Amino acid sequence: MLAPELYSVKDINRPDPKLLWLYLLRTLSLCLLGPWFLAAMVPLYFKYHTLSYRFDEEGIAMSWGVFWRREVYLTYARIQDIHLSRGLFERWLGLATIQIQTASGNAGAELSIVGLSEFDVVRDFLYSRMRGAFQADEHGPVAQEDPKLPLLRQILSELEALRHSLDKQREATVAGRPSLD
Amino acid sequence: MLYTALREPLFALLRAPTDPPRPPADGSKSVSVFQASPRFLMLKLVIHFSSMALAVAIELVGWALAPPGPGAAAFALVSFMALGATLIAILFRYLLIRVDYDLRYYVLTDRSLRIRRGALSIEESTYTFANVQNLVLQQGPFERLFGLSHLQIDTAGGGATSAEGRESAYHKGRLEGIELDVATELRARILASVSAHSGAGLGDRGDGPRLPSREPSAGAELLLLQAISEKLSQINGIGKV
Repeated sequence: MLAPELYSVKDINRPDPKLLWLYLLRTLSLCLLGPWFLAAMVPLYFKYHTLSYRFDEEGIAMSWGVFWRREVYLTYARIQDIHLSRGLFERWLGLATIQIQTASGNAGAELSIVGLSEFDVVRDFLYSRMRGAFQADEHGPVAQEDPKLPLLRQILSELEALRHSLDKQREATVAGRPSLD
Repeated sequence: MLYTALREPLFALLRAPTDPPRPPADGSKSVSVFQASPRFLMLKLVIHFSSMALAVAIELVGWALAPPGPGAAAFALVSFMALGATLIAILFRYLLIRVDYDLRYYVLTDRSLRIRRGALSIEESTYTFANVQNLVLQQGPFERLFGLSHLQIDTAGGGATSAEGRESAYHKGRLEGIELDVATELRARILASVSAHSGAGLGDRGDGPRLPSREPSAGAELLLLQAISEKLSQINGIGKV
């Protein structure tokens, strides 16, 4: 796994090749029930080969399918909760599934990001963009100083200088008066 | 004893993480990582062993009451196998309860909650308090006996049940088996975080925390304006004297 600072989540567009192994292991474990379950591998094979991700500024898009194409898009701000799920096979292969919930009424996850080996980085990425992860007083517009404040400070210091020079002038006139008389 | 000997190879086989989950990186000042109360483990083991003892007792009574006759040997064999299966189930479930307890972690930061649970499939769920809709504190009769409770947070959209009628495990985070006083304290803490947010918890744009955080800057502005007005009146005073 690359260091998080070298690794950009926005560059991800394909799952890890180990995902195919995961699908194979799952199918084989189903085959313990009967050899015809090998057919379950066919849709998974196509899913792996057509699966693509796109992480942009606003949200995630995930698409897959050959005949019945499907593309899911959701925005980061709408994420309700993030689940990181790791089954035994996934732990053996170093993979994980990130399941994302939005507030729609689905019983399952709205989006399952499968087959990423950098799941930790992706989860942090999503977490930092979901609502409530950061408060505005630290990172939002309120955090920066109000632009009016430096201006006001400048006016104050100009006035200070003005007063100072006026004072000097007055002192000079007061001091100079007797000599004029 | 048995479990402590088995723990290491079992965890290695399951590739189970032995360290607690990493807290979400949100620059929180206070981060608490904790596990369920040891009394929760106790309660689960008591329930497990007492129910299994009942099952074994019923099987033994059945064995003793076996009618004599030609089928007696076959009946004894079946009873013996049932008893064996029960004993294996007792052991297996015992290990599962211990592993489940050891892998269960709760992480609380200023803004979020992370729960890790599960033995075969390990789930780590992260929720921000900004999205919390309800807080539920639950206590059954057995939990009350042990001074335990479950604290559940619900996020929006969680009311759905799946096609099989099973209630969805998503949209809710359960802190199971924490002591009642800890649970009430946590509930107060989370409620304070929830009410600090003005939006409905549905990802509305610009619904950050309520306005108090703006005050300091408004105050600074006011102070500067006052200082400017003072300076101006001093300057006006210079001419008059």
